[in-house]
Amino acid sequence: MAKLTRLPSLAIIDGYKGVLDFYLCMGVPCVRKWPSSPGKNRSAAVQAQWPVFATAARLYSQLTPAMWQVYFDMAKDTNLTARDVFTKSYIKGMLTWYVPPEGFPENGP
Amino acid sequence: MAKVPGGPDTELITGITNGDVVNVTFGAWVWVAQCFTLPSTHLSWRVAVKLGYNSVTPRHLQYAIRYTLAGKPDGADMATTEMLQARGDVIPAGVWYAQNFPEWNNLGPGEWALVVRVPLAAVPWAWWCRAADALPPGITGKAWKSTNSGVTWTEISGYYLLHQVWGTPTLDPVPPPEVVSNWAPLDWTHEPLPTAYQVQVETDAVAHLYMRHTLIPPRKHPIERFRRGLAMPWNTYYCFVAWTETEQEEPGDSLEHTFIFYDWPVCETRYFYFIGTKRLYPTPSASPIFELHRYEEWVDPTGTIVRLIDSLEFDPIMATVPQLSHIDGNVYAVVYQDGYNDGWVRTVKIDEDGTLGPLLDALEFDPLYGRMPHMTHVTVDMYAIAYTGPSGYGIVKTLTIANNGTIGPVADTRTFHAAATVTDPRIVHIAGTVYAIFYTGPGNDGYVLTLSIDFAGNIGPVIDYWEFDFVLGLGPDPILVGPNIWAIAYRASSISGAGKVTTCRIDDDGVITGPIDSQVYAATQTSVPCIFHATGTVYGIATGGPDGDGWLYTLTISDMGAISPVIDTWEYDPVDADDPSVVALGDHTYAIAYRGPAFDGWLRTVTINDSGGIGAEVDNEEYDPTRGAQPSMLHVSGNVFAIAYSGPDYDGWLRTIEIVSNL
Repeated sequence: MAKLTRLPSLAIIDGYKGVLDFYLCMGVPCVRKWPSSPGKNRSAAVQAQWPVFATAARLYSQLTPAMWQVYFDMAKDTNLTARDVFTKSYIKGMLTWYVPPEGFPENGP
Repeated sequence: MAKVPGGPDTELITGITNGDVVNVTFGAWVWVAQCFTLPSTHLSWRVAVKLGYNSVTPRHLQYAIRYTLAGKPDGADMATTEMLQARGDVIPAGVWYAQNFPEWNNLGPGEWALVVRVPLAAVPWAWWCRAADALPPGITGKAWKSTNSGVTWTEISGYYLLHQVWGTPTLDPVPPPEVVSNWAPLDWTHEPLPTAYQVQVETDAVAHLYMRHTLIPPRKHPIERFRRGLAMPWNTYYCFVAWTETEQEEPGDSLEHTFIFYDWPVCETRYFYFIGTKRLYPTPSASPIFELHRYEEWVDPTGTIVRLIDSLEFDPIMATVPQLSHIDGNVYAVVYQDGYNDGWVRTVKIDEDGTLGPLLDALEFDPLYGRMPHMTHVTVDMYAIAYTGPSGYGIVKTLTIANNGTIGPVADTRTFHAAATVTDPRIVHIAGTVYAIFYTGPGNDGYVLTLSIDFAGNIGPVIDYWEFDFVLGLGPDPILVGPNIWAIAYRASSISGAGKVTTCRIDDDGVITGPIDSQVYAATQTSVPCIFHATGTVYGIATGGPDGDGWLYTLTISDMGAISPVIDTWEYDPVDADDPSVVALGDHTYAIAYRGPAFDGWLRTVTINDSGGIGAEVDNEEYDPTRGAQPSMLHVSGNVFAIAYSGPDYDGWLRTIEIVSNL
């Protein structure tokens, strides 16, 4: 990543599509290498999570309608989907780690 | 605890050292294991097992410690000893073989398994552990055997391997297992119980769950984060407060998790989620938040036997083989034979609430001989009774029973089979004035004949007859299965011979054609059968089976008379059962009244589904703990049922019972 004095023109930005990524960070123009997936070249810690993710993906399709409804209801009126709730619950739970931040509005934002 | 001679810091933690009674063999791929329980965390250092072998070939013994699941060895080894070469001599009686672990093993509180094996042995049987047939006081744990090198285990029932576990208590925390297992709830159910409310959860992997429940609705707080100047949906916080934690009912780790609440009132909403442990260690998974409003009160299922309502002795001298029939309104009739084998009919009032009495009228319809009477309605107040009369002849009489229970004189009498040893007649209406009588005739063969009885009770001559079994036809019980098609269940071939069902056609004019089909449903039948319609083309037959036990069979009989093989069976009394009488309760549920063990009267209820599958028993009750023979059961009203039977001292008894039904 490198800071720029100013962003180049849109034509230049478009010309580097797939190579360089121009963006603003807190109002500061920046450029970085175009993001790409590292594929399977991941750390051992990340790789250790793959079976858990795979199992979560498999189990989600095995939920009964009654159980799926519980996840759906929990995701309702939030920015999560039922699958999000299921995956997070399976991997590390949704509630056990949470401590409300100080001054957090009681009725939500 | 005793100190081990070889070390001042170790002691005998647990073990079984007495009661050496039997060998449990093992070898090559056959392993054995003994589970033991530790009350607190211990460091184990040495284990010993009393064992022997019958080969001089050198071989290597090894012990291992494994986790357990539901009292059974589970997973891979947690610790192993080195391979120890046993001595090269034959030791038939067994000696204590002790081995040390290469390092201290930190064993937490709970159940562990000590595995014994000789993986380098040539045969699976040349080694044996000595075992006791009882556990010492304070010791728990089962013995197990694996025939596939520890992959699966089968309990060695009734025996316990002699073993010793040496070590020392420790207060050090138990290190967590290396592999952490996640779990997810796949299904959940909830239902009211008689005095509680039950929630059950099924998970994909074994775990031990704890429910955190609260009455306060959780709040959701969707959170956003600013990324590159843009507000992005990020997460959602859930506020779940003022919760109480409840542990699952099942011990140890399980797939099914049951939570029972005795303080959950109807119309209360609770919110809950689950956390869990596996092998006592916390797991990272958690369930979603459930919301559950309790609507239902407990309702006894159909077939629940609620109470014995009333009883009445209708003959204080003697009464056997009673048959209970409904006359009109609250008036019922019982036909039976008395202590002198005379034939009687009595009328009695049975109220809709089950209150019995008074007795209304009585008539000795045959003062000479009136055995095994069976009655059917003819028309208005006219009834016909078929029975075994004087000289063992088959006789049918007609008489009137008014709607108020008044019994008139005998209107007509006819001998339908003038030969001795007519027994167990069953008279049924065919059409118009035509009636059929199924009975056991001369030579104990099975017969059915037709005759006419007009509205005035005049009995005509025999129209037609058919011998449905030339060998043996004991205790025939007929049932209408289709238009003019009848099925007969009876005992065939010998006294305790096969149970057989045969179908025949009886036309409206009394002409009998048979057999259409026949089927043996039981190789041994020790009681008269009771055949009843279950659902669709499914029929049930309650009877006695091998050893006199009570058996229920289901099969299908089409309305054309085709009989299927037996679909399902159920041993409703594993001790003794005779003379069953079955009534339908609705909701695919049936009640069987019968004479049970020690001649007591028993009642059991069971379900039969549309396919003929017999479900679990719903309920049972002893309707007479002294004597309850030859019951005849009838539906009275709602949940009230009546049973006429030969009771204590062979007297005639009536009893009303409340059974939850859908009639």
